[in-house]
Amino acid sequence: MNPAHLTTAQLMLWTGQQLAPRSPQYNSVFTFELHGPLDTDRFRRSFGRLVEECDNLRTVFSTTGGEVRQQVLAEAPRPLEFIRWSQSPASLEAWVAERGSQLLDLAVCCYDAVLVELAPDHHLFFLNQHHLIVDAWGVSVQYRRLSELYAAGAGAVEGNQPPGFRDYRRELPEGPIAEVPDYWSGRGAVVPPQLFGRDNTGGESRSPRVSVTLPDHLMRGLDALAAHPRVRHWTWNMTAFSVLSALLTAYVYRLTRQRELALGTPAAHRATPAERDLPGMLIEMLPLYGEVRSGDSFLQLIERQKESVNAFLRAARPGVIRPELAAGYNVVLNYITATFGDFAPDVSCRTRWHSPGHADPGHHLRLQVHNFDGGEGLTLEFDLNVAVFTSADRERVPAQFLRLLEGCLEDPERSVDAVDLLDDAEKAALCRLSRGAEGDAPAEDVLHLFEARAAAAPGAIALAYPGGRMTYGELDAAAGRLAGFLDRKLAAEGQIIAIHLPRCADLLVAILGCWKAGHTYLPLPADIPDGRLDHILRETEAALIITDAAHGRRVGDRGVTVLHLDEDRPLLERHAPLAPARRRTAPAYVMYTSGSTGVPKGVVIGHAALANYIDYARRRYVKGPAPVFPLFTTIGFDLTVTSLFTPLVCGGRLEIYPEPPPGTPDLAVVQVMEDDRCDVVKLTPSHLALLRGQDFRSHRLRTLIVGGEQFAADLAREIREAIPPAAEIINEYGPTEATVGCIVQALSGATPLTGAAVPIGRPIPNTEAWILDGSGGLVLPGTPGDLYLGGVCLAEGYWKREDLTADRFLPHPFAAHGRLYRTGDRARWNAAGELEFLGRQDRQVKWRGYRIELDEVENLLAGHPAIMSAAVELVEPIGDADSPPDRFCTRCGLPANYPSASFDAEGVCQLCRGFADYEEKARAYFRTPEDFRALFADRPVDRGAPYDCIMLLSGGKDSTYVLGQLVDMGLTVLAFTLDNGYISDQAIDNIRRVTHELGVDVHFGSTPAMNEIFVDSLQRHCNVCNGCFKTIYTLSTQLALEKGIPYIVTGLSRGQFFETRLTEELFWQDGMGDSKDIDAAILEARKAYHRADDAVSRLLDTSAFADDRVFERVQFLDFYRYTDVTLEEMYAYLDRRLPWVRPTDTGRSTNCLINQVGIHVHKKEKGYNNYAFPYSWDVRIGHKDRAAALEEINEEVDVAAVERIMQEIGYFAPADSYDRHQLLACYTAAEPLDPEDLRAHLRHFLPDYSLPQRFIRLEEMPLTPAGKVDRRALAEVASAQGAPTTDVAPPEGEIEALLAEIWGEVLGRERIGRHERFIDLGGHSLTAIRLAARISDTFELEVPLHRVFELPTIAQQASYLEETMLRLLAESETTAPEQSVDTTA
Amino acid sequence: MEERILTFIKNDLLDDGQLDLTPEDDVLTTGLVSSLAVFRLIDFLEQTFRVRIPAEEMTIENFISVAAMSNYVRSRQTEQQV
Repeated sequence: MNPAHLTTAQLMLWTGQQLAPRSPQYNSVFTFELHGPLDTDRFRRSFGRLVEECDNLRTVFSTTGGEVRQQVLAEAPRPLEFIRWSQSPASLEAWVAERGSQLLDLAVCCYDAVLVELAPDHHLFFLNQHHLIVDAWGVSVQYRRLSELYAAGAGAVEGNQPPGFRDYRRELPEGPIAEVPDYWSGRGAVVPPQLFGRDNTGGESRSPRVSVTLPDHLMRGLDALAAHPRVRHWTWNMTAFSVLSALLTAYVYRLTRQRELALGTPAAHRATPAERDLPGMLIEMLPLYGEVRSGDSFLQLIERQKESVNAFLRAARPGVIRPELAAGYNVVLNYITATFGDFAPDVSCRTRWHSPGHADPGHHLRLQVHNFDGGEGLTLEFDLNVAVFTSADRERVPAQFLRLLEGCLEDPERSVDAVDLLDDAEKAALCRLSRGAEGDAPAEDVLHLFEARAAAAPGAIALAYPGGRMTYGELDAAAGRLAGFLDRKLAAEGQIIAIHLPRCADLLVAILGCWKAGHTYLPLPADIPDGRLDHILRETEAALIITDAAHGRRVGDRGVTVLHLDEDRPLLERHAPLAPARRRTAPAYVMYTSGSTGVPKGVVIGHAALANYIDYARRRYVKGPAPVFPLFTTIGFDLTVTSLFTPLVCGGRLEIYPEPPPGTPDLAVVQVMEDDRCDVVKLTPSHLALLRGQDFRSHRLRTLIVGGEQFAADLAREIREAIPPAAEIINEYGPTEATVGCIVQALSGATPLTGAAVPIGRPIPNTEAWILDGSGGLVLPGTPGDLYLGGVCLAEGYWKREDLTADRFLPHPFAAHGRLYRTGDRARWNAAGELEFLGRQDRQVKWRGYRIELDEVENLLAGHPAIMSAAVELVEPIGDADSPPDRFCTRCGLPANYPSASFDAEGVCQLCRGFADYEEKARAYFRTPEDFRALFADRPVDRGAPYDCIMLLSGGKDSTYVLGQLVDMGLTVLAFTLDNGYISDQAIDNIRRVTHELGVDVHFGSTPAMNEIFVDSLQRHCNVCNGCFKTIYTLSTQLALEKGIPYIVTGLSRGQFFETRLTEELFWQDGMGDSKDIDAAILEARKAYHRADDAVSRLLDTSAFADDRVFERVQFLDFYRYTDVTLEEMYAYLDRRLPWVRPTDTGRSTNCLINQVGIHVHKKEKGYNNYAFPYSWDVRIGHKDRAAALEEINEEVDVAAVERIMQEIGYFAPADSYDRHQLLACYTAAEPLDPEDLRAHLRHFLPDYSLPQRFIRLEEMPLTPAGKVDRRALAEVASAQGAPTTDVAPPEGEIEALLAEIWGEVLGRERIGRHERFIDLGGHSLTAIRLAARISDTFELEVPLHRVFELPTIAQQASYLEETMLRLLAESETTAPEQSVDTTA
Repeated sequence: MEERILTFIKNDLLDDGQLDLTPEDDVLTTGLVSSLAVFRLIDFLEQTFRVRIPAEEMTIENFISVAAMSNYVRSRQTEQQV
């Protein structure tokens, strides 16, 4: 039997198997437990007969030249095995599991069949088949047929013989059917969900199965729901499928909060009786779309799902499957309607489908539903991939799904969000975690705690600063005097007092004095920008500004009373200290933070919240003797609050590090560590990154408190090694709105750090941390959600921003009183009961339909051993399509956004610079008119051909000029014009007039396939010219062959030579440059060009090009290779000699109306005009001047006309417009790192779409005054650095060049870099098959398909090929010494 | 119309031209026409009678029998003319 191609569905399975050659993931293992008297010999013969009848059982698979084929063997490849079971009945299950996970050798036999005799009247029929040959329904067909054959005594049973799978297959086209039904097209935005926040990037296939039988009450409930008029569908099974697919969609939504979702679900393709009798593999797994809308009830969801199921089934025709569709789902619903029934009247059967323990790695969660024995209940089987689900999750998932189903069946009108997926115990545990420890809230505020210290030990040192010290007593007294002054000065308590001071002792005097007088302090750091200062003073209506002489000038004339603590000291000295002990009611401070909108907002923190935190910090962070804290961070950031107050409430000391002079970087953190005077240091991860590589192990440091930013595990590990072993690192999380730090994780030396970031831990006492879903419900542990905070720690709100306060501080959903603060951060509970921070909600971006967590990429990148710190942003790229390029080469006019364009200091592009080096060689390529005439010395017409040459006449100036010249030379010319349907009327008139005037015959070529060729050209090249040119070459060559004409003359401009024929590399290589070599190279390229697979080769007859001789029989001559003529000369000639009129109906440069469609699409998709490159060459070689070229490439196109033509030819721009943003990674490291290494590092953890396109090494990370990464500065860095430099490294060496050529053919792309990845270039499994085949062919080596994915770049494949070739060579030398002697002899 | 639908069901969906089927017979809930075959029937109705059948109108009431289908298709035809 002839080998045949695979169906696309089979090919996808086969590819999947190649990618995981050792995984039994596609074993379809069935057992049939037979009770009753069974004639085993008859059974054996019946099975033999079944294999004879079912061609799918005799099908095997093999690869030749890398292409897989299936073949039906004439004989049964393997008999039924018979085993008499002698072991314990219990061990049978293990045997089935073991046997069912054995790999089948697809080239030999795709099934494994065993009859096990357990007892005289008790048998087990085991049948394992590879999914390539069968689906579940097909197994039922085989089973029924087996039972018929058995009943008939294993003899022939005519009439019921199953039809051949071969015939079915033959009706399918090879490859997917061309049209994607509307149902699946344009759904690029539906992305696979991240279940439990995990992915299966490692291609894990282990997926243990958990089976549950639907309990009776749920089965009855399902029956009742199925009868509901809004639910009921054609049949019970259709109804149940709609309901279960709606519920699975709802469940995934509840797990992930993703509202739009695709489930993979098999289209059975068994509508008619004949199809239902086929034993083969007919199913195609296709995405079924579902959407959970806000506020949906189950009933509403089911109704919508029913419609989607209808649309799905209407669209699901055999052959629609294609690999891209599989990328949209990772949750699968497999609803199987097949039933099996009893084997014989006296032999009952229990049918089971066993998991081989593995499943397709792309199927993270599979739910299979069936009722094989046709009984009362449904069986639900969950296959759960181990990379995504922990063993605890695997227990949870079925229970949660059933709980959701139960909730739906109890009341289908209730909201999808309303059903609790946690059981009571789980819920109680989660609430316990969320509430944190209950502690006694401190009875006293921070001021009282300080005053108590001052009273107890007035002589102890409180503050140390350059040149001085202050005791607790002195500080308390100074603050008291200030309070006395304020008390007199201000009419009432509870005013806002702005403090505009540098880091100094007076800062503490000011704050404490302010509190003593019952006011609220407002920190205005010394370096606060003017605009911000104005805004804050205006909004707060501060009653007074406390500053010093040096800073007072900035705030002097703002209409607010100013107190200079230094100059006005004599004034203060006169005031008696205000007596302590009043209970404070005014807030402790108002701290302004930057809002995401850019308008700063004042967070109002009360004394109770502050006291709760400081009291916690005192008890938790301070161990041993009274500690020294440094003050070295800005007072405008609440991170600093820890250092300001914690030492002063426990008898410790504050070591003050003043700001550096304005304009110099604040490197106080380095000084702090060098000085080694402090025990407890509070800082940001960005600060820590500055300290990398230093050794503090012998320092006095006892505790590092890290806050303000996400803390990368890698940094934590490194720092942990660099500090004293007994020192502790505390990771503190807390927005300003929840007072400094409210969730805390301690890292001791032994704490394992598994994730990319340090967990943020658990809430501190009197604090709550809840992870809620979008509708305010508790999310499941492990599931990402929105982090809400509650408890004593919460701010009172935003100063004078009631709207914003109401928006962010919400009524507590689970308590009668209290509020929750919506942080805008995403987090989840990990298995250890700690919170993991997952990034800002606004740091989750969607890019080209994929969801990317910028923080995740950033953390992983920071984990690279050579990287000290990293930041990842989605930035606008250089040369955005919507903004025209702002620079053009000052010499040739090449735009700055032309790929890899780079300009030197004079604005000259690298092409112009390079050209200077080989200009001479390039000029040698050009010839003289005499050379041209010499070609015709032996004139073809004299040898009997009707014409000397064909001339390709477009009707434009260049080709018309050529035609005139040819005639003037006395040649007999046949003009060839392609009527592509869009030549302008004026151009046609020109052609007719000119050819008439010259007495030249003109042949108008045309093809009905023209529009299809245009569309293909637009899709492949973003222009129409490529397709049009190739059509012209093809049709004119046919004409030349037909008429025996040896030459075709083109009117290509010299600039176009460089676009289509010549590459600069031709002139670089040593030994090249001889125009003979160049001609030879061009000829080779032409051969490949004509043989490449595209619309022209599919739609026109290109068979002539298969034979190399055609390139000798018909040669192309480029007229302008032999003639150099300026534009003026050309026009002068045309005006003088020919009745040629400049066209006015197309734009100046062209005679073809469709040309501007190409220009428009090219500009839109690639950002620059497709003529930019050839015109730059026209300028470079002196054919055009720069101004003229620029004018033409910057000409506006008539978009309305373009859209009309696109409609006519049937071209539709890619549905979801191409997202041009780039993922940019900035990092600091000792030296620049290879971007490919960095990508390889990230690829261990991330899917390809999450990998940054650009990597930029920075000397240091730009930081905001608060010590956090300055993200706005990064985008500026990106644009300052210009176009990406990491792209497109050309292939190196012969092997890579050959590979690049093959890649180009297979992918239909040009200029592929040696480090570009196959998948990134649009490769998928089908193209991988072609690639592997062609590589194997070219190099005469067998390249397994999975290598294409394992070695995804040209560079990697080349080194693999090289190694393999060397190894084979070495082997042949050692195994065949004589032969090797022969060859060397 | 009923005759043409009956012929399509018998010949194309069930492969049995001799089948005894009347316009009033329940073809759906009896499983006579498989639930997947109904979608081919819908294709046939749309093409033959030049109507568009939206997914939300693919209900059991409209498709339970050949008579029901004919009524439904006629109502769609009238609707589309308006």
